[in-house]
Amino acid sequence: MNILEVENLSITYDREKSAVDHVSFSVPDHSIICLVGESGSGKSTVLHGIMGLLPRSALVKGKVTLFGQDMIKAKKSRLNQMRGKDIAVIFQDTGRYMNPISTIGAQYREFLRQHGKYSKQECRDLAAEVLRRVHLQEPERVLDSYPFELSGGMRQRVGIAMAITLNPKILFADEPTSALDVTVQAQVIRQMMNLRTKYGTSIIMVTHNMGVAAYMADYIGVMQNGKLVEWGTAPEVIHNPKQEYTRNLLAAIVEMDDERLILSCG
Amino acid sequence: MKDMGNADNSIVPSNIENNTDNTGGAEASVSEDPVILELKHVCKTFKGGKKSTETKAVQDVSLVVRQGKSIGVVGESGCGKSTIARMITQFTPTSSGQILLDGQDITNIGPSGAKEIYRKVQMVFQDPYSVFSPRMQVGTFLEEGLLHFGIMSHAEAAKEAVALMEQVELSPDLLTRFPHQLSGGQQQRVAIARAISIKPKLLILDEATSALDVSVQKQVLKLLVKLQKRNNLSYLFIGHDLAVIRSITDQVIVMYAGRLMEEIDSEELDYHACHPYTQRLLGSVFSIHDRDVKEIELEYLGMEDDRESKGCVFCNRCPYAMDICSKEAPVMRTLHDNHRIACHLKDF
Ligand SMILES: Nc1ncnc2c1ncn2[C@@H]1O[C@H](COP(=O)(O)OP(=O)(O)O)[C@@H](O)[C@H]1O
Ligand SMILES: Nc1ncnc2c1ncn2[C@@H]1O[C@H](COP(=O)(O)OP(=O)(O)O)[C@@H](O)[C@H]1O
Ligand code: SF4
Ligand SMILES: [Mg+2]
Ligand SMILES: [Mg+2]
Repeated sequence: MNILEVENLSITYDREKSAVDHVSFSVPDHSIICLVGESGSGKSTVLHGIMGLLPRSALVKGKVTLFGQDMIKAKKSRLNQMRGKDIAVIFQDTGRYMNPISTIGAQYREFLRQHGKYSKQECRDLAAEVLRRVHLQEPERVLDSYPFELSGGMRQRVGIAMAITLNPKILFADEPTSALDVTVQAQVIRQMMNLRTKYGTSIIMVTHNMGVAAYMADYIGVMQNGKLVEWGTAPEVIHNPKQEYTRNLLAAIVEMDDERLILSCG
Repeated sequence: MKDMGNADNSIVPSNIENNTDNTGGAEASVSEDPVILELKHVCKTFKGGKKSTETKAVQDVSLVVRQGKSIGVVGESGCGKSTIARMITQFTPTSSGQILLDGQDITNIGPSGAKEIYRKVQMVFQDPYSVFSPRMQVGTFLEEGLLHFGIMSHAEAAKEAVALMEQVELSPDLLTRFPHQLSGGQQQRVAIARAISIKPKLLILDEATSALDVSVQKQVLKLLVKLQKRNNLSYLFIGHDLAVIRSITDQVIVMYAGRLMEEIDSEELDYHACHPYTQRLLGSVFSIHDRDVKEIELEYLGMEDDRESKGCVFCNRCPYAMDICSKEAPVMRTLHDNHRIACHLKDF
């Protein structure tokens, strides 16, 4: 069963050129998809297009079906209802989307109450439990903190915690670890993968880190200039890419076991 | 190799006086090349800051950069990398210790003395756009540096700008462009051209390629290696990407919470680095060549509190921590020629 079908999705911000150009792919239930490609290739636009988060001026063509629901025709109110419960989102800097003058606990409460009836205590208990699930120590202290009092890595984990609280069926993540340090990135990636293992959550993640994609994805899509130029299982794309573009992209990565540039050039 | 100073080295200058005969970390290097930059027991404590307390941003850091060599400084954000760069370039005062550039003591010579040292040391930052004036053409930007130091006439500077563009593999046609008309990679090449224009001995590159797309990054890295060899430049290459640092440096220095953890030849980094923190870093690198499940710690919150440790700054995270680790800071010691480590573990 496919949880998501994207058919001939094209998105234009200004009339001149498409940011996304006839992109089609489908996402089997419980799978992890990574979209990779250079900056400006349209990865975020695809993600926003699927979630109905594009600016009003954007022109969208094609078809997006998520849980059998037509996302392009769906009403804003219906989309808002789906987001948070069935659909969760994590951005690169979750902190930027937080309210700076309200504690994490208060924001958590507001978020939960959009999706159900919860008492103050229920909100707090649930929040603390989920924060513990993403291995944030002292969840009570975190809940009483303002966003600026937490490190980037902690805020990002709070974002992940919020995103997974209601056991979403699908998680959209746009460069969720790009601003994080390598050891924290490794932790966040691991936590996202645990989500799939424990709760069957499907994940669609945008990243420019091929190593991360190779590590966590079942399928990898490579984007270039708005087009999905390559799509396949992670081992296929990494070890047997069909497109020259993908081969070049892979060859450009500086890896630990490559010959060192200081020896090979100059 | 002598040790690198008192274990719980405070910022009190008297502490270094005991060590004035100690030339610091890389003294034992077999290399004959002249020393361009040397840091001896350098410390930086910021007063105030987030918790209205002090931040020991850099503690007892010693390092040597020789002519024509590239030294990498690697560690996670907040470990003190940029602070080291800023002390060298006089953007921030040094709390204690000594900084020598080309044999001259430049510790806290301050902004007035800085102009003179900028002939010898130049910086390249992560965001090239921040160093441009948005309304200055590329050509003017390149000439400005040359004219500022009174090295040449306007006509000569204009000619030199063309030559510089060729050195960084850009078309001289771009000289009339404005910064926003260039791609990120082109901007960084122009920033590099300006940095090398006055023929410095040392370039400090602070996350210089971190914001670039991989294919652009690799091109810029190759360019940097070529320029270094052609001009016999020294690099202090600061970054967080282990694979990149390993690829373009001769030696790597690994830092955590303001302190040196390990110093090793870049060639040896993947197989012979043995400090528990270096191993943690190496274990966090995602490679397209292996999909093995990683062993990943899941509790770590941040290094801010670790700085205050009386013992090893890494002891809260270290899987090998022993009793002594939280009580006494390990002293940097030499394992082999260019391989030094600060850790209480005996056997590696
Ligand atoms: N809000 C917007 N308005 C206009 N153009 C945009 C907007 N967001 C993105 N673009 C353009 O769309 C293209 C694709 O961008 P994006 O989807 O952000 O790429 P990626 O996420 O792969 O870096 C780029 O050319 C970008 O400049
Ligand atoms: N101007 C400043 N005032 C107070 N604290 C600072 C200042 N600059 C840096 N710091 C602190 O010093 C530590 C080291 O920072 P930095 O050298 O920028 O690290 P890195 O470059 O390795 O990420 C951090 O804890 C940072 O918050
Ligand atoms: S000194 Fe102790 S805590 Fe520090 S790295 Fe070595 S074993 Fe770990
Ligand atoms: Mg994007
Ligand atoms: Mg820095």
